[in-house]
Amino acid sequence: MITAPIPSDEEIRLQALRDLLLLDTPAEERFDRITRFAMNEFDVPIATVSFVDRDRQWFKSQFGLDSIETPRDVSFCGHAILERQTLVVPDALRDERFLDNPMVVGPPWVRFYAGAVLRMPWGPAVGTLCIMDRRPRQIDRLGLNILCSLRDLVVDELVRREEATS
Amino acid sequence: MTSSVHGALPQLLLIEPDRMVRSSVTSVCRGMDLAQVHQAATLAIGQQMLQAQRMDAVLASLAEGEAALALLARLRESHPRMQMAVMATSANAAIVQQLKALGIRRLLLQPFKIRDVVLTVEALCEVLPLNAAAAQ
Repeated sequence: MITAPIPSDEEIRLQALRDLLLLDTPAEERFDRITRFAMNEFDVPIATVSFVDRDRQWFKSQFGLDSIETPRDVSFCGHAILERQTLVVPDALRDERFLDNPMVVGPPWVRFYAGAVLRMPWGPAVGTLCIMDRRPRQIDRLGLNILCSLRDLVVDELVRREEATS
Repeated sequence: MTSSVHGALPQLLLIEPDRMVRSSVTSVCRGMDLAQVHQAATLAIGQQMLQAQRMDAVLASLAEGEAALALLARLRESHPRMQMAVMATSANAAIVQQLKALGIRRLLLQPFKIRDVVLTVEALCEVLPLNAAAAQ
């Protein structure tokens, strides 16, 4: 397993995340609706809206997982927030970053992952909208566009909240 | 996927009450250069948009029932070549007959996926002449 490097703008990123005032708040329908929609759209057993905190990834919305957070060093999303494009892992067992990841070799047995970065309009990447499956699979260009369009709806909700709290 | 000439994308009116469906379809169609999608949450708004701008195709929800069918009938009368498809929660044989008579190209029954809607948009736009927007 390869732990994701820390982004160069980590402190700014964490501040942007804190400014959202979302961490450790209860689930909200406006996020759950998008996550559920993603699950149905892609026929996957797991979908989340995840935020990458200093030492953990925390799920504002999640379907198909038993926990509300995981250590950052085993998170797929820690890798995804480093990417400009959506991170796609067609088969985690064939990817050296994840092949012995506890989430791959144990529950929830992730094999496929696609995570679209939740990037605030002013730059920081705070998390992802991601879908996961327990079997290897591919996602085509149309699928990526759909995932990104749902991600944009999540960002809209984040920005709306940010504007309301500022 | 069909790729249209940049700047001459087909103009498609999407009448659909669900904001998530509207936003996603619009965003995906823009991202894939399929069509310029104009969104309307209701038939009333859709009608205003039809009066204000020429559309090449219409994809409408039948959520407003008879009123939606009436709009499609008026559109067919005034725009015989307009490409049209509909989305509905259900459709009995009578409605399907009505849709066929109106030359509706596709009927999407819920629950559908965004993928299905986008592929329907693509199908509607494929039959439009190249540079449809510029030609009319």
